[in-house]
Amino acid sequence: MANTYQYCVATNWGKGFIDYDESYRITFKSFPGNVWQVPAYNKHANLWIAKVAGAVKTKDEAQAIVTTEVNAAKTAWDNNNVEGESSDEKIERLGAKPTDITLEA
Amino acid sequence: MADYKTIHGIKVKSYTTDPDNIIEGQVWYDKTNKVLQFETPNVTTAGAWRTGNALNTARYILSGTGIYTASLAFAGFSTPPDTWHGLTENYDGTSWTEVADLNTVRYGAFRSGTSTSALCSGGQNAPGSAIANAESWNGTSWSETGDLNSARSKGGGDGASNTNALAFGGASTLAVNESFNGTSWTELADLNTGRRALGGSGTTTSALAYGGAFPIKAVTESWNGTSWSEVSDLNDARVEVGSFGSDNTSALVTGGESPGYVGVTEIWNGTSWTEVADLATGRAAVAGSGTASNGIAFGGSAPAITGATEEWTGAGAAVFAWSTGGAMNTARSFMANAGTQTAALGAGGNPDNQVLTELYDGTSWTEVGDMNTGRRA
Repeated sequence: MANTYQYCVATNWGKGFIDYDESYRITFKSFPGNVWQVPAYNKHANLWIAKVAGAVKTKDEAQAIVTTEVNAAKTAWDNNNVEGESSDEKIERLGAKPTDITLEA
Repeated sequence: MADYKTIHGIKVKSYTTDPDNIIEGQVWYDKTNKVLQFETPNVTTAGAWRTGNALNTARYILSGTGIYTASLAFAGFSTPPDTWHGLTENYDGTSWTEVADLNTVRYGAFRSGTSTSALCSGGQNAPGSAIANAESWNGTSWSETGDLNSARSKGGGDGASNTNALAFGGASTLAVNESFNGTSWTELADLNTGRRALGGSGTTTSALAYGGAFPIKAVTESWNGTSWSEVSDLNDARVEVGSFGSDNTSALVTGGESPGYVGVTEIWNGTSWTEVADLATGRAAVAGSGTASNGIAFGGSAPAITGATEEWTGAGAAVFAWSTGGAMNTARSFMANAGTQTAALGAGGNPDNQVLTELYDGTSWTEVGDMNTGRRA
């Protein structure tokens, strides 16, 4: 079955990276590591990837980038401790521990 | 079962490339990619997010107030190393500029006001150390003003200015509600459901409290100036949301953890929440400012700490339409032109075969060097 999504790596430069027209026409979702998910087989998505000079990745390649970033964030969270702080206080200070992200096909 | 031709009277045509002169709603078979294609209708009333320029300093658990073309971002947190910020930045609709810092660094502060008259109160400036300190912004600098009665952080709040604010809830699961009159805080009726890291927006007489934790909640309460009453829940329960709105009849909530970082956006119409377009970058502890028609979301954790800004235009706003831009310094016709929406050049033209050349940066026209020979297109 054809994929629903395609992935690329692109750095969000701010204004103009995603315009209202693009945002309305296609659904964007970003992930750690500057990974962007857009619809597959969609000419507006393809045009956007070209516009932002996105490096197209397979789902598995994109997943590897995201997992590396999430694991680094988890390690940083685990290693950030304050003496005497309860687990609830830690969550209040830092937010919840980052969770795994699974990309969709 | 009826096929497409039986229903519509025509077959779906096959193409190896996009067909010429596509019309809205047209369906065709893409032989190259082996999928059906559909031309999205041009709808001019949809809400959508677009990217804006990022904060100068990426951080989360920050606060924001103002409108989408004149917003203030203040306080916040980043790690490693753990850093509580007093940084204040001003957004002019295009970019963020650093302005004067808060006197007391903090994160999870209550917000109120505009980019020229704001209030920052409460928050936390060390692990487990909630503060009551409040500071008033006059458009140029922060100065200390009356402290909260109850020191707390990560609550919900809003208000019209640096003399009009409401601060409700807070860590750990407080229900406390206080109102500021420019000099001091007065305790008012508590929330029905105590919570932290909730969304809050409105004024001292008409406000909304939504979401929060723990556990993660969808509960929404409406404030009428006297008491809180439960109204319809969020569709997606979450905590650490971005929020903005006008009063208890109009609000927008976006982002948060549910758990996992989400970009889900919902709009409140006075009766219920409706899901609309998601943020491109789902994130928690994001700040927001504006109204349900036009606003911005900025900063947050996804889980990498980000300074990303996204701009919201709501239902009723034209997505595929012309909007007015800056006028040229010298009106003329028949000129030569080139460039893009944010980098355009206009030169020469009538009357009198002008030599004038002007440059457009997306906002305004600036005169630059004249042509050597005046002419028109």
